[in-house]
Amino acid sequence: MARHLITLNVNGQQHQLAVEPQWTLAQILREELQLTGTKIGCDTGECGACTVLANGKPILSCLTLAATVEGIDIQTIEGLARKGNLHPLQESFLAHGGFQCGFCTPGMILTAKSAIHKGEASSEEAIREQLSGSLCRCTGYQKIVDAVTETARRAKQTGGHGLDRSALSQEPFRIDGVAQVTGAAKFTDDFVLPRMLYGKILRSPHPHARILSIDTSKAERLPGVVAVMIGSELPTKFGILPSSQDETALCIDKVRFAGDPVAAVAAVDELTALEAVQLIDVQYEPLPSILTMEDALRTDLPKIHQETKYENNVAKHVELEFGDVAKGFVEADYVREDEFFYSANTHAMMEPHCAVASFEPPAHSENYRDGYLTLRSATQTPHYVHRTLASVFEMPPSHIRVIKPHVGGGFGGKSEPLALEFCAAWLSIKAGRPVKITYTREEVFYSHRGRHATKMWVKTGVKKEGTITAIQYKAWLDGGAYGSYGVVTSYYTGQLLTLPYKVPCYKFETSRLHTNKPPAGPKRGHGTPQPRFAFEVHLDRIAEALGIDPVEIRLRNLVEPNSMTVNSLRITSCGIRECIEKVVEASGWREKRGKLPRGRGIGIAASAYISGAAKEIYWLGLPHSAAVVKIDRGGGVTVFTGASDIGQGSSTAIAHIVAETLGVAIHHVKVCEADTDLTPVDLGSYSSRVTFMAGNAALRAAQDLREKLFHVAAEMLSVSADSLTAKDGKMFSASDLTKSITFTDSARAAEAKLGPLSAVGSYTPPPLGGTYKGAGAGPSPSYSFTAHVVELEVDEQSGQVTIHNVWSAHDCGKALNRRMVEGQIEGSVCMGIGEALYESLSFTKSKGKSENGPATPAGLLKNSSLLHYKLPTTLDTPQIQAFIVETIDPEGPLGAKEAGEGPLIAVPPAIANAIQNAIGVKVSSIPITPEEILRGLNQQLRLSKQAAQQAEFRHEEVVAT
Amino acid sequence: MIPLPRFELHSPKTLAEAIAALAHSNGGANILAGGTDLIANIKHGVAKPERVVWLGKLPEMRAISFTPELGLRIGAMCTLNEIAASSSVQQYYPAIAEAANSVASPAIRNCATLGGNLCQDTRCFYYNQSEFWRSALGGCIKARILPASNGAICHATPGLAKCAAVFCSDLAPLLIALSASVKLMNQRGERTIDLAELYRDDGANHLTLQPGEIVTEVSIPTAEPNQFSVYKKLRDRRSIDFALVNVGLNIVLDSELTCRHAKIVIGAVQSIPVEIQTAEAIFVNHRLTTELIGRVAEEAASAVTPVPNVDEPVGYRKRMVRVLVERALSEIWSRASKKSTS
Ligand SMILES: Cc1cc2nc3c(=O)[nH]c(=O)nc-3n(C[C@H](O)[C@H](O)[C@H](O)COP(=O)(O)OP(=O)(O)OC[C@H]3O[C@@H](n4cnc5c(N)ncnc54)[C@H](O)[C@@H]3O)c2cc1C
Ligand code: SF4
Ligand code: FES
Ligand code: FES
Repeated sequence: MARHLITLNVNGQQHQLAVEPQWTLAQILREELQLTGTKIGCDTGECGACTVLANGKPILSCLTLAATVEGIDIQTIEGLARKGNLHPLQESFLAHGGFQCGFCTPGMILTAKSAIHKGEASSEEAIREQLSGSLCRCTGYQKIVDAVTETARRAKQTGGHGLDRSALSQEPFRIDGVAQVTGAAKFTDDFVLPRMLYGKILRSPHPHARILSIDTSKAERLPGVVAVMIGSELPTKFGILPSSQDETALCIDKVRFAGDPVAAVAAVDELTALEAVQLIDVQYEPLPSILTMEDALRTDLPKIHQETKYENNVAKHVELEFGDVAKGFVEADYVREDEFFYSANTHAMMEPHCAVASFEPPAHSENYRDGYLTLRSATQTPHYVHRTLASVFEMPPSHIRVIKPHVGGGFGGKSEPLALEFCAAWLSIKAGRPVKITYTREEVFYSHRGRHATKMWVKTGVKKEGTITAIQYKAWLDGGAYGSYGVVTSYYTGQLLTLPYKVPCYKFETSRLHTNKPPAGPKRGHGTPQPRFAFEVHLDRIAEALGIDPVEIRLRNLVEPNSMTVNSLRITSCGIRECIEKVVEASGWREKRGKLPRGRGIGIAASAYISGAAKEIYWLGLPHSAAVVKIDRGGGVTVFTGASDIGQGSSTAIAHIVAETLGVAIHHVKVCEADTDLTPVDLGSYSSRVTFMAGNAALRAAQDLREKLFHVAAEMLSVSADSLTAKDGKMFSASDLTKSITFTDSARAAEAKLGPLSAVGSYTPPPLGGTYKGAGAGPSPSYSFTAHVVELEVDEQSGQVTIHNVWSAHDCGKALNRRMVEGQIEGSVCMGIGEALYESLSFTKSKGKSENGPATPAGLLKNSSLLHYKLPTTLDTPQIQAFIVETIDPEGPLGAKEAGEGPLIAVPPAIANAIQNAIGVKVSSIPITPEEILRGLNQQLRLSKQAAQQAEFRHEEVVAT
Repeated sequence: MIPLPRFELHSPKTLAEAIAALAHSNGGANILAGGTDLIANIKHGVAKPERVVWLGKLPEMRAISFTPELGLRIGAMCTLNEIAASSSVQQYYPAIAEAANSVASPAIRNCATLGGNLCQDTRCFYYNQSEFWRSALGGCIKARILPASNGAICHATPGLAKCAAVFCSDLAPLLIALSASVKLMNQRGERTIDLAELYRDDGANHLTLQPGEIVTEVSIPTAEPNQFSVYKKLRDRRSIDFALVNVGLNIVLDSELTCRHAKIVIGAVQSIPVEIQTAEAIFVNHRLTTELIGRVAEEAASAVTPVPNVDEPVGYRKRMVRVLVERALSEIWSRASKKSTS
């Protein structure tokens, strides 16, 4: 096809380019001009990540043909900083912590720039309106809006730019901050290697079918195709948990959900690869599909995985009892039973999965196993990817290197080896050329591993004054097609239900079921938001029945610091009481509850979460985290850590711990992270384990080095090593301040004496948990605690909910970086709002009849886009007030524990409770949709009519004791 | 990235060139305006043009003018943000600014044009999906993919032999309520039709445009002294989303608040904007009262049949028609009462 010669004016520079007519501006910027700060989150206009300025106005570069912007001034994020000076907005994003993973940041900053310039940033409301087309999954928008508000205010004051630098906090928000706000941060998809090919995956159109044959010959013959692969080439099974090794890189003889990967192609460009996968002919024999949990329990339907031990599609069943539950119920004055449902939802991190593989073939052998494979992947768990690639490819681990570049959010969706990683790597081995596979947004939804849809039954006994005597919980979890972390989920959902309350006896029963849907797995809060929703709403109903204030009933049941739960969870530091008191006071709970006009309501909920699991996934008795810290002669410090920064800022937290320990400024500390060749093993960014475990490992290495330095410095200063302190780049004696030496001098002296300076540190959790079977899931070296109060309004005509305010207090032990912790809280609240009100995976239902089955097949995911799967926008997210509660955990690094997941868990029930308070409608399922609210209101009307006849309608819901 | 398939791109500099480029293309040509609908549709494989004719270099299609004699004229290539910011629009037709501002998100509105908004494709969640997805479904009347299923069906309304995909434009219902007309041009000449006549009740072929026809301009008659128009949109989120239901309403009242003329148009529920004739009948020559508002809203709701091709249930959307009409009329009522007392 003829190319057009066009002149593009980008960031003030003219570029002569020969473009094909169908190339988009995003494509030209990223691929031709290597301006990779322009991000692709959806590629179809639904997320705003690709926003650039055209003559100063924001436009979406993914929907704009390059040829149509000739003669227009295009500005990308790379064009913002001038001569080494950041733009005031960039400064402000850094100062306020207006980003986390940084994937949405370029689009946000450019949109904000235009808004300020046009005078459309005069109020927080106006700013939210202008930013409303840019989705952010990390920040909850609060800090972004704050950053823009501040810049707009200053721009107005100074009549132009200008940020008061003295107002900037001294402590940098993030060590990678400048790279993030300037578009310099390299994400996996930003890598283009010489001779690189593009891979595409063919997926199953059927939810459940046997593969009869695969014919790839037509695809292989298509010009431009370099390699094709099918599942039988990599038959080794894998799975993140040793107990559920039920996946292969590509399906071999059976597909288990619509979207299951079947074959893959590498070609010279994406278009050719896409055409090629469509030429692959797969013959299927469709099998009855299991799409509901009720069907999964039936024994007359085919099993999705033959190897499971039950005759139906139960994948895992757990039953545990602690204490005498029957007796607990007998002792109760009031017993209540409720049923709840929590829908499946997904991570929807803004960066789609991407893997770039390159292969160095062996020089003297035919056997690929002698070659060297390098894989860059947007993963939370490079170590597991490394381990699994070695096993599936039967290659020595030493010949495989896995590198995690900047990652644009994960939330659990990138925490196990996934199809694209095997496919990119294997195609690269076959082709002898680098291969990149980037998932489309639709494929991200198929990859899933998100929240299990959960059906729950809760029964609780309480004394008159509200103290809990017993809880019984039963849950069915819809696991989808594969195991993933599901066994752990099955335990977590039960084991963690009771926290943050003290419960004398407890019994639970959970079943994880296989269905023909994308596999569920770990999503922020892993298995615990569901029971939390159920229990917190249930508890409010109990409080109502007993005439106790919801805050009061919670305060009466709180777990105590330094205690042991009935299921042997060891609680150490615990600030839940303070969390509740904080949000109750800040929200004006006591003035508001019961006094707001109808339609407006206020609700509370509380939660707890683990700081990493005490037991590792595969039990080898090795450290969970390790770090190497090295000091060079110039006084520079480098930390080598396997911990994966996925946007949450773990590298900054680790740098902070090391800087603090060695008494140097944080900008002297570099972090080399998540590269299996260079960094020691860390299990990955999941279970909120990073700050705690990788932080402790780094702390130990740094302490070891400090000891060496102290030793040498003490000798030089003629003081005892014990009397030394390291601070502000110096080592000095606490008792005699004149006895001091710079950090650099002490490092040089130590090197002269001891040789090159480095130390290793590692962290293995102490033995924790009970001795019963299943006691391994739930114990953590420490727990975080959270409380939220939500105030909202329900439109009783449309059923729509407007959240006005969220007050959140989180006990994170010690905030190593306040803006980062607040950011985690705010982001969690926003994600929780999404789960509560908007987000739910929705599938086609079978309808009608045709020759080969139903006319409309069931089991296709309908909302696999950011238009139809609805993440909250700036306008759907309220002001969030985050409070940090510090309890200084005895075992946490510098007292810190987790902050990344806990703050999400109690958001949906706080919203549900506020809705109940606003309009008296009982909410029993998530998400809470407008039509359900209207249904509830209708029912209320009906019931109140009935109630006029028979006084006590509440009676029927109460289970007699 | 989702690669776009190859096509020819024409960037005519005059209307005549544009018409010629469309005329000589054997029907395989698509007009490209802001591209916010078309490019997404090409990426999803639901539009497969051989030739794309971009109208961005035609300044004559970008003008907005207002005269009391001719009313408001908006060139089809004006962007929605330009329209919302136009002083004539803000002064004489604030509801148009509101409707324009309710489309998609701010960045989209910098590109999205009025012509594109009025000519955008219909939508359906069995259709606005990837090629893979549609073929997994087996195609439908609109997505005629698989030759095997020649008896193509509609998944949204099985049993109907017609595509019911929904037309979601935010501008069309209001502009129809305002009795807008559109100027159309192709190689055979120029014609002007009522905007309402641009639409046909067939989701797979919803525009009555002749081959090669371009919408060049939209005209809205001058507002009468006591004319009130309102636009209301219901969507899940407060940005980005298409309407679940929208309502454009234009009413002329006399000083006694008696209705002299009324047009109520409901969008985003069927393949065309639905004009509620019966509601108007109840309305005209009656005084605006709360009771009447309730009746009209009820009538509007019963006159539409939302198509079950979004996740929100039909019953809910029907009920929301009532709510939106009621809100729109109440707003007019309070504005009118203020005006008549002041
Ligand atoms: C995420 C997202 C959200 C959206 N939300 C909304 C929404 O809330 N409300 C809404 O109404 N729309 C919405 N849209 C659709 C679209 O952005 C708008 O309808 C927009 O106004 C289309 O204008 P355009 O200029 O970009 O059209 P284009 O994409 O350029 O064209 C659309 C169609 O109209 C035809 N066309 C364009 N101009 C003419 C002309 N002058 N004469 C004849 N035919 C013409 C084209 O051939 C094409 O078929 C959304 C789109 C996206 C991607
Ligand atoms: S309404 Fe029916 S025919 Fe039309 S796009 Fe939807 S499923 Fe296809
Ligand atoms: S990538 Fe362009 S809007 Fe999402
Ligand atoms: S910082 Fe906004 S998506 Fe991660």
